[in-house]
Amino acid sequence: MTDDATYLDLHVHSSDGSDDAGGTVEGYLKWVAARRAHGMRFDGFVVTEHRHFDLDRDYSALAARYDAVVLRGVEVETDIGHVLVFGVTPAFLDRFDLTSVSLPYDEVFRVAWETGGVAVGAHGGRPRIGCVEHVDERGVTLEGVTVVEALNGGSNDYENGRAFDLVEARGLRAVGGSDAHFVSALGSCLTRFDRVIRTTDDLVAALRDPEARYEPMYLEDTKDGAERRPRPSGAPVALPSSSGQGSLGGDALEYDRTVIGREVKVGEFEVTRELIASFCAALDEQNPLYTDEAFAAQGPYGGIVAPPGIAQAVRMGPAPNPQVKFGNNGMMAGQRFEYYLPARPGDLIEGFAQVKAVYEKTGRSGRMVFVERRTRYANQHGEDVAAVETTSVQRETKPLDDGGSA
Amino acid sequence: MTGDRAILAGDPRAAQRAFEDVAVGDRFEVPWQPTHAQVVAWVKLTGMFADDRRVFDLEAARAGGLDRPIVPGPISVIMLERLVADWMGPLGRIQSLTVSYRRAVLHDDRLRCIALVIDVHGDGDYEGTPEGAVSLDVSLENERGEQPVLGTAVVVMPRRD
Repeated sequence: MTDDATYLDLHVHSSDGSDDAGGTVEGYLKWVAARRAHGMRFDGFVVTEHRHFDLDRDYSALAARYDAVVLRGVEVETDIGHVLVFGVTPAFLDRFDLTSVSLPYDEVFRVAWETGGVAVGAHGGRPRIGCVEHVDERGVTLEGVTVVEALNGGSNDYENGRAFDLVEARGLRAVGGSDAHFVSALGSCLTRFDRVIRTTDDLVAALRDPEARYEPMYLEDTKDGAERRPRPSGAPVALPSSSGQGSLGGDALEYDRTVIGREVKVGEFEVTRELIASFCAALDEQNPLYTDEAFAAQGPYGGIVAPPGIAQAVRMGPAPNPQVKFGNNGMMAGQRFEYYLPARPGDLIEGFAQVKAVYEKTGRSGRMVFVERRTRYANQHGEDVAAVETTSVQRETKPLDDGGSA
Repeated sequence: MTGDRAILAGDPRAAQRAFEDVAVGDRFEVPWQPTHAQVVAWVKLTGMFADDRRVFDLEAARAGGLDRPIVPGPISVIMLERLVADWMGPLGRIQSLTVSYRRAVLHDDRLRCIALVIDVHGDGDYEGTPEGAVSLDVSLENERGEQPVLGTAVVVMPRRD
Protein backbone atom coordinates (compact mmCIF):
# COMPACT_ATOMS: atom_id res chain seq x y z
CA MET A 1 0.00 0.00 0.00
CA THR A 2 1.18 3.50 -0.76
CA ASP A 3 -0.94 5.36 1.80
CA ASP A 4 -3.13 4.71 4.80
CA ALA A 5 -6.29 4.18 2.78
CA THR A 6 -7.89 0.75 2.81
CA TYR A 7 -10.05 -0.66 0.03
CA LEU A 8 -12.41 -3.35 1.29
CA ASP A 9 -15.26 -5.23 -0.32
CA LEU A 10 -17.78 -5.35 2.54
CA HIS A 11 -20.22 -7.89 1.12
CA VAL A 12 -19.02 -11.32 -0.06
CA HIS A 13 -20.51 -14.81 0.05
CA SER A 14 -18.48 -18.00 -0.15
CA SER A 15 -19.11 -21.69 -0.63
CA ASP A 16 -18.11 -22.15 3.02
CA GLY A 17 -21.42 -20.82 4.26
CA SER A 18 -23.77 -19.61 1.53
CA ASP A 19 -25.76 -22.23 -0.35
CA ASP A 20 -25.94 -20.10 -3.50
CA ALA A 21 -22.26 -19.20 -3.70
CA GLY A 22 -19.61 -20.94 -5.81
CA GLY A 23 -16.56 -18.87 -4.85
CA THR A 24 -14.09 -20.17 -2.28
CA VAL A 25 -12.25 -17.86 0.09
CA GLU A 26 -8.91 -18.93 -1.36
CA GLY A 27 -10.27 -18.41 -4.85
CA TYR A 28 -11.28 -14.90 -3.85
CA LEU A 29 -7.82 -14.25 -2.43
CA LYS A 30 -6.21 -15.32 -5.70
CA TRP A 31 -8.56 -12.94 -7.50
CA VAL A 32 -7.46 -10.11 -5.19
CA ALA A 33 -3.88 -10.83 -6.21
CA ALA A 34 -4.88 -10.90 -9.88
CA ARG A 35 -6.68 -7.55 -9.61
CA ARG A 36 -3.69 -6.00 -7.89
CA ALA A 37 -1.51 -7.25 -10.74
CA HIS A 38 -3.76 -5.19 -13.03
CA GLY A 39 -3.05 -2.04 -11.04
CA MET A 40 -6.15 -1.95 -8.88
CA ARG A 41 -6.15 -1.07 -5.20
CA PHE A 42 -7.72 -3.92 -3.31
CA ASP A 43 -6.82 -4.79 0.26
CA GLY A 44 -9.35 -7.46 1.10
CA PHE A 45 -12.96 -8.32 1.80
CA VAL A 46 -15.50 -9.23 4.43
CA VAL A 47 -17.18 -12.64 4.20
CA THR A 48 -20.85 -12.08 5.01
CA GLU A 49 -22.60 -15.42 4.66
CA HIS A 50 -26.39 -15.61 4.51
CA ARG A 51 -28.10 -16.20 7.87
CA HIS A 52 -25.11 -18.02 9.34
CA PHE A 53 -22.13 -17.04 11.47
CA ASP A 54 -19.59 -19.54 12.76
CA LEU A 55 -17.73 -18.01 15.70
CA ASP A 56 -14.86 -20.47 15.35
CA ARG A 57 -14.02 -19.88 11.71
CA ASP A 58 -10.85 -17.85 11.09
CA TYR A 59 -9.36 -16.86 7.74
CA SER A 60 -6.45 -14.82 9.11
CA ALA A 61 -3.71 -17.35 8.31
CA LEU A 62 -5.03 -17.91 4.81
CA ALA A 63 -5.33 -14.16 4.27
CA ALA A 64 -1.76 -13.61 5.46
CA ARG A 65 -0.48 -15.95 2.76
CA TYR A 66 -1.92 -13.55 0.19
CA ASP A 67 -1.02 -10.35 2.09
CA ALA A 68 -4.70 -9.48 2.25
CA VAL A 69 -7.40 -8.75 4.80
CA VAL A 70 -10.26 -11.20 5.24
CA LEU A 71 -12.81 -10.28 7.91
CA ARG A 72 -16.16 -11.79 8.76
CA GLY A 73 -19.69 -10.54 9.27
CA VAL A 74 -23.13 -11.88 8.49
CA GLU A 75 -26.05 -10.98 6.23
CA VAL A 76 -29.37 -11.41 8.03
CA GLU A 77 -32.91 -10.95 6.75
CA THR A 78 -35.25 -8.46 8.40
CA ASP A 79 -38.64 -6.88 7.90
CA ILE A 80 -37.01 -4.07 5.87
CA GLY A 81 -34.78 -6.35 3.81
CA HIS A 82 -31.30 -7.70 4.23
CA VAL A 83 -28.85 -6.29 6.75
CA LEU A 84 -25.09 -6.74 7.08
CA VAL A 85 -23.79 -7.03 10.63
CA PHE A 86 -20.11 -6.47 11.41
CA GLY A 87 -18.58 -7.23 14.79
CA VAL A 88 -20.80 -10.21 15.48
CA THR A 89 -20.51 -11.34 19.10
CA PRO A 90 -21.92 -14.25 21.10
CA ALA A 91 -24.19 -11.73 22.79
CA PHE A 92 -25.62 -10.74 19.40
CA LEU A 93 -26.05 -14.36 18.34
CA ASP A 94 -27.86 -15.15 21.60
CA ARG A 95 -30.52 -12.60 20.75
CA PHE A 96 -31.54 -13.79 17.29
CA ASP A 97 -32.35 -16.89 15.29
CA LEU A 98 -30.28 -15.99 12.24
CA THR A 99 -32.20 -18.44 10.06
CA SER A 100 -35.34 -16.32 10.40
CA VAL A 101 -36.25 -14.40 7.24
CA SER A 102 -38.11 -11.55 8.96
CA LEU A 103 -36.14 -10.40 11.98
CA PRO A 104 -37.28 -7.02 13.41
CA TYR A 105 -34.85 -4.57 11.84
CA ASP A 106 -34.90 -2.04 14.67
CA GLU A 107 -33.90 -4.77 17.14
CA VAL A 108 -31.10 -5.99 14.85
CA PHE A 109 -29.63 -2.51 14.48
CA ARG A 110 -30.00 -1.71 18.18
CA VAL A 111 -28.58 -5.00 19.49
CA ALA A 112 -25.70 -4.92 17.01
CA TRP A 113 -24.77 -1.49 18.31
CA GLU A 114 -25.24 -2.37 21.99
CA THR A 115 -23.08 -5.49 21.64
CA GLY A 116 -20.19 -3.55 20.13
CA GLY A 117 -20.89 -4.09 16.45
CA VAL A 118 -22.63 -2.20 13.70
CA ALA A 119 -25.41 -3.02 11.24
CA VAL A 120 -25.67 -1.76 7.66
CA GLY A 121 -28.69 -1.86 5.37
CA ALA A 122 -27.71 -4.15 2.48
CA HIS A 123 -28.39 -3.42 -1.22
CA GLY A 124 -30.68 -0.57 -0.20
CA GLY A 125 -32.35 -0.05 -3.56
CA ARG A 126 -33.45 -3.59 -4.35
CA PRO A 127 -37.13 -4.50 -4.47
CA ARG A 128 -38.33 -6.19 -1.27
CA ILE A 129 -34.90 -6.89 0.20
CA GLY A 130 -33.59 -3.32 0.32
CA CYS A 131 -34.76 -0.67 2.77
CA VAL A 132 -35.71 2.02 0.21
CA GLU A 133 -38.92 0.33 -0.81
CA HIS A 134 -39.98 -0.09 2.82
CA VAL A 135 -39.39 3.60 3.46
CA ASP A 136 -41.28 4.65 0.33
CA GLU A 137 -44.22 2.29 0.63
CA ARG A 138 -44.63 1.72 4.37
CA GLY A 139 -43.11 4.84 5.88
CA VAL A 140 -40.48 2.88 7.83
CA THR A 141 -38.48 5.36 9.93
CA LEU A 142 -35.13 3.53 9.75
CA GLU A 143 -34.71 3.62 13.51
CA GLY A 144 -31.04 3.20 14.37
CA VAL A 145 -29.91 2.99 10.75
CA THR A 146 -26.84 5.09 10.05
CA VAL A 147 -25.15 3.30 7.13
CA VAL A 148 -26.61 1.84 3.94
CA GLU A 149 -24.91 -0.16 1.20
CA ALA A 150 -25.71 2.18 -1.68
CA LEU A 151 -23.32 0.67 -4.22
CA ASN A 152 -23.96 -3.06 -4.55
CA GLY A 153 -22.46 -5.20 -7.30
CA GLY A 154 -25.59 -7.32 -7.61
CA SER A 155 -27.93 -4.36 -8.04
CA ASN A 156 -28.52 -2.47 -11.26
CA ASP A 157 -27.91 1.26 -11.65
CA TYR A 158 -31.53 2.11 -10.95
CA GLU A 159 -31.51 0.18 -7.70
CA ASN A 160 -28.19 1.65 -6.61
CA GLY A 161 -29.40 5.11 -7.60
CA ARG A 162 -32.44 4.73 -5.36
CA ALA A 163 -30.18 3.79 -2.47
CA PHE A 164 -27.98 6.86 -3.01
CA ASP A 165 -31.12 9.02 -3.14
CA LEU A 166 -32.18 7.69 0.25
CA VAL A 167 -28.72 8.16 1.75
CA GLU A 168 -28.63 11.78 0.63
CA ALA A 169 -32.21 12.53 1.66
CA ARG A 170 -31.80 11.07 5.15
CA GLY A 171 -28.25 12.15 5.88
CA LEU A 172 -27.00 8.56 6.11
CA ARG A 173 -23.55 7.19 5.29
CA ALA A 174 -22.94 5.00 2.22
CA VAL A 175 -20.71 1.98 1.69
CA GLY A 176 -20.08 -0.37 -1.22
CA GLY A 177 -19.82 -4.11 -1.59
CA SER A 178 -19.84 -6.56 -4.47
CA ASP A 179 -22.31 -9.09 -3.06
CA ALA A 180 -20.09 -11.58 -4.86
CA HIS A 181 -21.21 -15.20 -4.95
CA PHE A 182 -18.63 -16.16 -7.58
CA VAL A 183 -14.99 -15.18 -7.82
CA SER A 184 -14.99 -12.82 -10.79
CA ALA A 185 -17.58 -10.54 -9.16
CA LEU A 186 -15.38 -9.91 -6.13
CA GLY A 187 -14.58 -6.26 -5.52
CA SER A 188 -16.70 -4.95 -8.39
CA CYS A 189 -17.96 -2.48 -5.80
CA LEU A 190 -16.09 -1.77 -2.59
CA THR A 191 -15.50 0.83 0.11
CA ARG A 192 -12.51 3.14 0.43
CA PHE A 193 -11.60 4.01 4.03
CA ASP A 194 -9.24 6.89 4.80
CA ARG A 195 -7.54 4.83 7.46
CA VAL A 196 -5.89 1.48 7.99
CA ILE A 197 -8.37 -1.36 8.47
CA ARG A 198 -6.82 -4.68 9.42
CA THR A 199 -9.27 -6.18 11.91
CA THR A 200 -12.97 -6.40 12.50
CA ASP A 201 -12.52 -3.98 15.40
CA ASP A 202 -10.92 -1.48 12.99
CA LEU A 203 -13.82 -1.87 10.60
CA VAL A 204 -16.50 -1.52 13.25
CA ALA A 205 -14.78 1.50 14.77
CA ALA A 206 -14.74 3.22 11.39
CA LEU A 207 -18.37 2.50 10.62
CA ARG A 208 -19.49 3.63 14.08
CA ASP A 209 -17.47 6.84 13.95
CA PRO A 210 -19.52 9.70 12.49
CA GLU A 211 -16.31 11.54 11.71
CA ALA A 212 -14.67 8.65 9.86
CA ARG A 213 -14.15 9.18 6.16
CA TYR A 214 -15.23 6.38 3.85
CA GLU A 215 -17.02 6.12 0.55
CA PRO A 216 -18.28 3.50 -1.91
CA MET A 217 -16.53 3.13 -5.24
CA TYR A 218 -15.96 0.84 -8.18
CA LEU A 219 -12.87 -1.36 -8.22
CA GLU A 220 -11.96 -0.19 -11.72
CA ASP A 221 -11.79 3.37 -10.40
CA THR A 222 -9.03 2.47 -7.92
CA LYS A 223 -6.41 2.37 -10.66
CA ASP A 224 -3.94 5.20 -10.66
CA GLY A 225 -5.24 7.93 -12.93
CA ALA A 226 -8.66 6.34 -13.37
CA GLU A 227 -11.54 8.77 -13.68
CA ARG A 228 -14.13 8.28 -10.95
CA ARG A 229 -17.49 7.34 -12.32
CA PRO A 230 -20.43 9.39 -11.03
CA ARG A 231 -22.72 7.64 -8.60
CA PRO A 232 -25.58 5.78 -10.34
CA SER A 233 -28.68 7.79 -11.05
CA GLY A 234 -32.15 6.84 -9.93
CA ALA A 235 -33.52 7.01 -13.45
CA PRO A 236 -36.11 4.25 -13.70
CA VAL A 237 -35.50 1.22 -15.87
CA ALA A 238 -37.87 -1.60 -16.65
CA LEU A 239 -37.61 -4.18 -13.90
CA PRO A 240 -38.43 -7.81 -14.65
CA SER A 241 -42.08 -8.50 -13.97
CA SER A 242 -41.10 -11.21 -11.52
CA SER A 243 -39.61 -8.67 -9.07
CA GLY A 244 -41.42 -7.59 -5.95
CA GLN A 245 -44.44 -9.88 -6.15
CA GLY A 246 -44.35 -11.70 -2.81
CA SER A 247 -44.24 -10.55 0.79
CA LEU A 248 -41.38 -11.08 3.27
CA GLY A 249 -43.25 -12.59 6.22
CA GLY A 250 -45.80 -15.36 6.70
CA ASP A 251 -46.62 -18.51 8.63
CA ALA A 252 -44.00 -20.95 9.89
CA LEU A 253 -42.68 -23.28 7.21
CA GLU A 254 -44.40 -26.68 7.01
CA TYR A 255 -42.96 -29.73 5.24
CA ASP A 256 -42.38 -33.46 5.68
CA ARG A 257 -39.07 -33.78 7.51
CA THR A 258 -39.00 -37.58 7.29
CA VAL A 259 -37.75 -37.58 3.68
CA ILE A 260 -34.56 -35.65 4.42
CA GLY A 261 -31.43 -37.71 3.70
CA ARG A 262 -33.26 -40.84 2.52
CA GLU A 263 -31.87 -42.05 -0.83
CA VAL A 264 -34.21 -43.95 -3.15
CA LYS A 265 -33.79 -45.37 -6.64
CA VAL A 266 -35.67 -43.19 -9.09
CA GLY A 267 -35.05 -45.01 -12.38
CA GLU A 268 -32.61 -46.33 -14.91
CA PHE A 269 -31.84 -45.93 -18.58
CA GLU A 270 -29.52 -47.38 -21.19
CA VAL A 271 -27.13 -45.04 -22.98
CA THR A 272 -27.61 -45.73 -26.67
CA ARG A 273 -26.11 -44.24 -29.80
CA GLU A 274 -29.60 -43.15 -30.75
CA LEU A 275 -30.08 -41.32 -27.45
CA ILE A 276 -26.74 -39.54 -27.87
CA ALA A 277 -27.58 -38.61 -31.45
CA SER A 278 -31.01 -37.28 -30.48
CA PHE A 279 -29.54 -35.24 -27.65
CA CYS A 280 -26.96 -33.70 -29.97
CA ALA A 281 -29.52 -33.03 -32.70
CA ALA A 282 -31.95 -31.32 -30.33
CA LEU A 283 -29.38 -28.78 -29.22
CA ASP A 284 -27.20 -28.62 -32.32
CA GLU A 285 -24.27 -30.18 -30.51
CA GLN A 286 -21.44 -30.86 -32.97
CA ASN A 287 -18.55 -32.03 -30.78
CA PRO A 288 -17.08 -34.97 -32.74
CA LEU A 289 -16.41 -36.91 -29.53
CA TYR A 290 -20.18 -37.36 -29.35
CA THR A 291 -21.12 -37.37 -33.02
CA ASP A 292 -18.35 -38.90 -35.14
CA GLU A 293 -17.50 -42.57 -34.64
CA ALA A 294 -14.24 -42.45 -36.60
CA PHE A 295 -13.00 -39.34 -34.85
CA ALA A 296 -14.03 -40.53 -31.40
CA ALA A 297 -12.36 -43.91 -31.96
CA GLN A 298 -9.02 -42.11 -32.07
CA GLY A 299 -9.86 -39.81 -29.14
CA PRO A 300 -9.20 -40.08 -25.43
CA TYR A 301 -12.06 -42.50 -24.78
CA GLY A 302 -11.55 -44.86 -27.74
CA GLY A 303 -15.09 -44.36 -29.00
CA ILE A 304 -18.17 -42.20 -28.80
CA VAL A 305 -19.18 -41.02 -25.37
CA ALA A 306 -22.25 -39.17 -24.21
CA PRO A 307 -22.21 -35.41 -23.59
CA PRO A 308 -21.91 -34.64 -19.88
CA GLY A 309 -25.54 -33.59 -19.63
CA ILE A 310 -26.95 -36.86 -20.97
CA ALA A 311 -28.28 -37.93 -17.59
CA GLN A 312 -30.60 -34.98 -17.74
CA ALA A 313 -31.93 -36.10 -21.09
CA VAL A 314 -33.83 -38.94 -19.50
CA ARG A 315 -36.74 -38.41 -17.22
CA MET A 316 -36.44 -40.40 -14.02
CA GLY A 317 -39.19 -41.16 -11.55
CA PRO A 318 -40.14 -38.55 -9.00
CA ALA A 319 -37.61 -37.77 -6.30
CA PRO A 320 -38.74 -37.86 -2.67
CA ASN A 321 -41.08 -34.94 -2.04
CA PRO A 322 -40.98 -32.97 1.21
CA GLN A 323 -44.49 -31.60 0.50
CA VAL A 324 -43.62 -28.00 1.21
CA LYS A 325 -46.74 -26.00 1.99
CA PHE A 326 -45.80 -22.65 0.51
CA GLY A 327 -46.04 -20.72 -2.72
CA ASN A 328 -47.84 -21.08 -6.01
CA ASN A 329 -44.87 -21.06 -8.36
CA GLY A 330 -41.68 -23.10 -8.48
CA MET A 331 -38.50 -23.07 -10.51
CA MET A 332 -34.86 -24.11 -10.32
CA ALA A 333 -32.59 -21.95 -8.16
CA GLY A 334 -29.29 -23.68 -8.77
CA GLN A 335 -27.53 -26.87 -9.79
CA ARG A 336 -24.18 -28.52 -9.25
CA PHE A 337 -22.92 -31.13 -11.68
CA GLU A 338 -20.08 -33.48 -10.86
CA TYR A 339 -18.73 -35.67 -13.64
CA TYR A 340 -16.63 -38.67 -12.66
CA LEU A 341 -16.62 -41.02 -15.66
CA PRO A 342 -17.82 -40.78 -19.25
CA ALA A 343 -21.05 -42.58 -20.09
CA ARG A 344 -20.68 -44.85 -23.11
CA PRO A 345 -23.16 -46.53 -25.44
CA GLY A 346 -24.35 -49.70 -23.75
CA ASP A 347 -23.99 -48.36 -20.22
CA LEU A 348 -26.97 -48.95 -17.98
CA ILE A 349 -27.33 -45.95 -15.72
CA GLU A 350 -29.30 -46.03 -12.48
CA GLY A 351 -30.38 -42.88 -10.65
CA PHE A 352 -30.64 -42.55 -6.87
CA ALA A 353 -32.17 -39.41 -5.38
CA GLN A 354 -32.50 -37.86 -1.97
CA VAL A 355 -33.68 -34.59 -0.44
CA LYS A 356 -30.75 -32.94 1.31
CA ALA A 357 -32.38 -29.90 2.90
CA VAL A 358 -35.37 -27.56 3.00
CA TYR A 359 -34.98 -23.91 4.06
CA GLU A 360 -36.28 -20.41 3.38
CA LYS A 361 -34.90 -16.96 2.59
CA THR A 362 -35.96 -13.72 0.94
CA GLY A 363 -35.11 -12.12 -2.38
CA ARG A 364 -36.30 -9.53 -4.89
CA SER A 365 -39.51 -11.51 -5.32
CA GLY A 366 -40.20 -11.79 -1.58
CA ARG A 367 -40.19 -14.91 0.60
CA MET A 368 -38.84 -18.09 -0.99
CA VAL A 369 -38.60 -21.72 0.12
CA PHE A 370 -35.74 -23.85 -1.21
CA VAL A 371 -35.52 -27.64 -1.56
CA GLU A 372 -32.10 -29.21 -2.20
CA ARG A 373 -32.02 -32.60 -3.92
CA ARG A 374 -29.08 -34.78 -4.97
CA THR A 375 -29.26 -37.43 -7.66
CA ARG A 376 -26.39 -39.87 -8.04
CA TYR A 377 -25.95 -41.73 -11.33
CA ALA A 378 -24.16 -45.11 -11.28
CA ASN A 379 -23.30 -47.47 -14.14
CA GLN A 380 -23.76 -51.24 -14.37
CA HIS A 381 -20.38 -51.73 -12.66
CA GLY A 382 -21.54 -49.86 -9.58
CA GLU A 383 -19.32 -46.90 -10.42
CA ASP A 384 -20.64 -43.39 -9.92
CA VAL A 385 -20.69 -41.69 -13.30
CA ALA A 386 -22.09 -38.32 -12.27
CA ALA A 387 -24.06 -36.53 -9.59
CA VAL A 388 -26.43 -33.61 -9.89
CA GLU A 389 -27.56 -31.45 -7.01
CA THR A 390 -30.60 -29.37 -7.80
CA THR A 391 -32.01 -26.61 -5.66
CA SER A 392 -35.58 -25.61 -6.47
CA VAL A 393 -37.37 -22.56 -5.15
CA GLN A 394 -41.03 -22.01 -4.45
CA ARG A 395 -42.47 -18.51 -4.18
CA GLU A 396 -45.69 -16.56 -4.37
CA THR A 397 -46.45 -14.81 -7.67
CA LYS A 398 -49.31 -12.85 -9.16
CA PRO A 399 -50.57 -13.03 -12.75
CA LEU A 400 -49.41 -10.07 -14.83
CA ASP A 401 -52.99 -9.01 -15.55
CA ASP A 402 -53.70 -8.86 -11.81
CA GLY A 403 -51.27 -6.21 -10.69
CA GLY A 404 -48.28 -8.50 -10.85
CA SER A 405 -46.26 -6.28 -13.13
CA ALA A 406 -43.56 -4.49 -11.17
CA MET B 1 -2.23 -38.43 -24.05
CA THR B 2 0.62 -37.45 -26.31
CA GLY B 3 -0.33 -40.18 -28.75
CA ASP B 4 -3.96 -39.10 -28.74
CA ARG B 5 -3.03 -35.58 -29.62
CA ALA B 6 -0.72 -36.73 -32.38
CA ILE B 7 -3.53 -38.73 -33.93
CA LEU B 8 -5.99 -35.90 -33.59
CA ALA B 9 -3.61 -33.22 -34.74
CA GLY B 10 -4.50 -33.63 -38.38
CA ASP B 11 -8.20 -33.01 -37.81
CA PRO B 12 -9.27 -29.36 -37.78
CA ARG B 13 -12.04 -30.18 -35.31
CA ALA B 14 -9.46 -31.29 -32.79
CA ALA B 15 -8.19 -27.80 -31.98
CA GLN B 16 -6.76 -28.52 -28.59
CA ARG B 17 -5.89 -25.98 -25.94
CA ALA B 18 -3.13 -26.93 -23.52
CA PHE B 19 -3.03 -26.10 -19.84
CA GLU B 20 0.07 -23.99 -20.43
CA ASP B 21 -1.88 -21.79 -22.85
CA VAL B 22 -4.33 -20.67 -20.16
CA ALA B 23 -3.92 -17.63 -17.92
CA VAL B 24 -6.03 -16.04 -15.22
CA GLY B 25 -8.17 -13.36 -16.83
CA ASP B 26 -8.63 -15.18 -20.17
CA ARG B 27 -12.19 -14.47 -21.26
CA PHE B 28 -14.30 -15.89 -24.05
CA GLU B 29 -17.95 -15.77 -25.05
CA VAL B 30 -20.50 -16.75 -27.66
CA PRO B 31 -23.96 -15.32 -28.35
CA TRP B 32 -27.07 -17.40 -27.77
CA GLN B 33 -30.72 -16.63 -28.41
CA PRO B 34 -32.83 -19.52 -27.14
CA THR B 35 -35.78 -20.15 -29.40
CA HIS B 36 -39.20 -21.66 -28.88
CA ALA B 37 -38.26 -24.46 -31.30
CA GLN B 38 -35.09 -25.27 -29.35
CA VAL B 39 -36.96 -25.51 -26.08
CA VAL B 40 -39.70 -27.64 -27.58
CA ALA B 41 -37.15 -30.02 -29.14
CA TRP B 42 -35.40 -30.46 -25.80
CA VAL B 43 -38.64 -31.03 -23.91
CA LYS B 44 -39.76 -33.60 -26.49
CA LEU B 45 -36.46 -35.44 -26.23
CA THR B 46 -36.21 -35.52 -22.47
CA GLY B 47 -39.81 -35.45 -21.33
CA MET B 48 -38.66 -33.06 -18.64
CA PHE B 49 -40.84 -30.02 -18.03
CA ALA B 50 -43.39 -31.51 -20.44
CA ASP B 51 -46.15 -30.88 -17.92
CA ASP B 52 -44.95 -27.36 -17.14
CA ARG B 53 -46.74 -25.14 -19.63
CA ARG B 54 -44.70 -22.12 -18.56
CA VAL B 55 -41.82 -23.38 -20.70
CA PHE B 56 -43.71 -23.21 -23.99
CA ASP B 57 -47.01 -21.37 -23.45
CA LEU B 58 -47.16 -17.56 -23.29
CA GLU B 59 -50.39 -17.39 -21.35
CA ALA B 60 -49.17 -19.85 -18.75
CA ALA B 61 -45.96 -17.86 -18.39
CA ARG B 62 -47.86 -14.61 -17.91
CA ALA B 63 -50.14 -16.26 -15.37
CA GLY B 64 -46.94 -17.05 -13.46
CA GLY B 65 -45.78 -13.44 -13.55
CA LEU B 66 -43.34 -13.80 -16.45
CA ASP B 67 -43.22 -11.82 -19.69
CA ARG B 68 -42.47 -14.82 -21.91
CA PRO B 69 -42.08 -18.61 -21.54
CA ILE B 70 -39.12 -19.89 -19.52
CA VAL B 71 -36.07 -21.65 -20.90
CA PRO B 72 -35.50 -24.64 -18.56
CA GLY B 73 -32.35 -24.31 -16.50
CA PRO B 74 -30.68 -27.46 -17.85
CA ILE B 75 -30.63 -25.99 -21.37
CA SER B 76 -28.71 -22.97 -20.10
CA VAL B 77 -26.29 -25.33 -18.37
CA ILE B 78 -25.77 -27.34 -21.54
CA MET B 79 -24.94 -24.13 -23.42
CA LEU B 80 -22.42 -23.11 -20.77
CA GLU B 81 -20.89 -26.61 -20.82
CA ARG B 82 -20.62 -26.41 -24.58
CA LEU B 83 -18.94 -23.00 -24.38
CA VAL B 84 -16.29 -24.41 -22.07
CA ALA B 85 -15.92 -27.76 -23.88
CA ASP B 86 -15.44 -26.10 -27.26
CA TRP B 87 -12.85 -23.73 -25.77
CA MET B 88 -10.90 -26.59 -24.16
CA GLY B 89 -10.82 -28.97 -27.06
CA PRO B 90 -11.65 -32.67 -27.12
CA LEU B 91 -9.03 -33.75 -24.62
CA GLY B 92 -10.30 -31.44 -21.93
CA ARG B 93 -12.76 -32.69 -19.36
CA ILE B 94 -15.33 -30.88 -17.24
CA GLN B 95 -14.93 -32.04 -13.66
CA SER B 96 -17.71 -29.99 -12.08
CA LEU B 97 -20.05 -27.14 -12.83
CA THR B 98 -22.03 -25.21 -10.26
CA VAL B 99 -24.66 -22.73 -11.37
CA SER B 100 -27.03 -20.39 -9.61
CA TYR B 101 -30.22 -19.43 -11.44
CA ARG B 102 -30.70 -15.83 -10.33
CA ARG B 103 -33.50 -14.87 -12.71
CA ALA B 104 -35.54 -16.62 -15.35
CA VAL B 105 -34.12 -17.01 -18.86
CA LEU B 106 -36.95 -16.41 -21.30
CA HIS B 107 -37.56 -17.42 -24.90
CA ASP B 108 -35.90 -15.05 -27.37
CA ASP B 109 -33.69 -13.39 -24.75
CA ARG B 110 -30.54 -12.11 -26.43
CA LEU B 111 -27.85 -13.69 -24.30
CA ARG B 112 -24.10 -13.89 -24.12
CA CYS B 113 -22.56 -17.08 -22.78
CA ILE B 114 -19.42 -15.86 -21.03
CA ALA B 115 -16.49 -17.63 -19.36
CA LEU B 116 -13.58 -16.10 -17.45
CA VAL B 117 -10.55 -18.00 -16.18
CA ILE B 118 -10.25 -17.28 -12.46
CA ASP B 119 -7.55 -19.74 -11.45
CA VAL B 120 -5.09 -22.27 -12.82
CA HIS B 121 -4.08 -25.10 -10.53
CA GLY B 122 -0.67 -26.08 -11.79
CA ASP B 123 0.51 -27.55 -8.52
CA GLY B 124 -2.38 -29.96 -8.36
CA ASP B 125 -2.91 -29.55 -4.64
CA TYR B 126 -5.48 -26.77 -4.54
CA GLU B 127 -8.83 -27.77 -3.05
CA GLY B 128 -8.62 -31.32 -4.26
CA THR B 129 -8.33 -30.46 -7.93
CA PRO B 130 -5.93 -32.52 -10.03
CA GLU B 131 -2.90 -31.23 -11.87
CA GLY B 132 -3.91 -29.36 -14.96
CA ALA B 133 -7.17 -28.11 -13.51
CA VAL B 134 -8.54 -24.70 -14.44
CA SER B 135 -11.35 -22.82 -12.71
CA LEU B 136 -13.65 -20.59 -14.70
CA ASP B 137 -16.55 -18.37 -13.77
CA VAL B 138 -19.35 -18.82 -16.30
CA SER B 139 -22.44 -16.71 -16.82
CA LEU B 140 -25.28 -15.80 -19.09
CA GLU B 141 -25.79 -12.07 -19.56
CA ASN B 142 -28.97 -10.60 -21.02
CA GLU B 143 -29.70 -7.35 -22.81
CA ARG B 144 -30.31 -5.52 -19.53
CA GLY B 145 -26.84 -6.41 -18.34
CA GLU B 146 -28.29 -8.83 -15.81
CA GLN B 147 -26.77 -12.21 -15.22
CA PRO B 148 -29.68 -14.65 -14.94
CA VAL B 149 -27.31 -17.62 -14.63
CA LEU B 150 -23.98 -17.50 -12.79
CA GLY B 151 -21.66 -20.34 -12.06
CA THR B 152 -18.20 -21.76 -11.76
CA ALA B 153 -16.63 -24.69 -13.58
CA VAL B 154 -13.55 -26.76 -12.87
CA VAL B 155 -12.03 -28.40 -15.93
CA VAL B 156 -8.99 -30.59 -16.43
CA MET B 157 -6.82 -29.88 -19.44
CA PRO B 158 -3.87 -31.73 -20.96
CA ARG B 159 -0.34 -30.43 -20.66
CA ARG B 160 1.68 -29.77 -23.77
CA ASP B 161 4.53 -32.14 -22.94
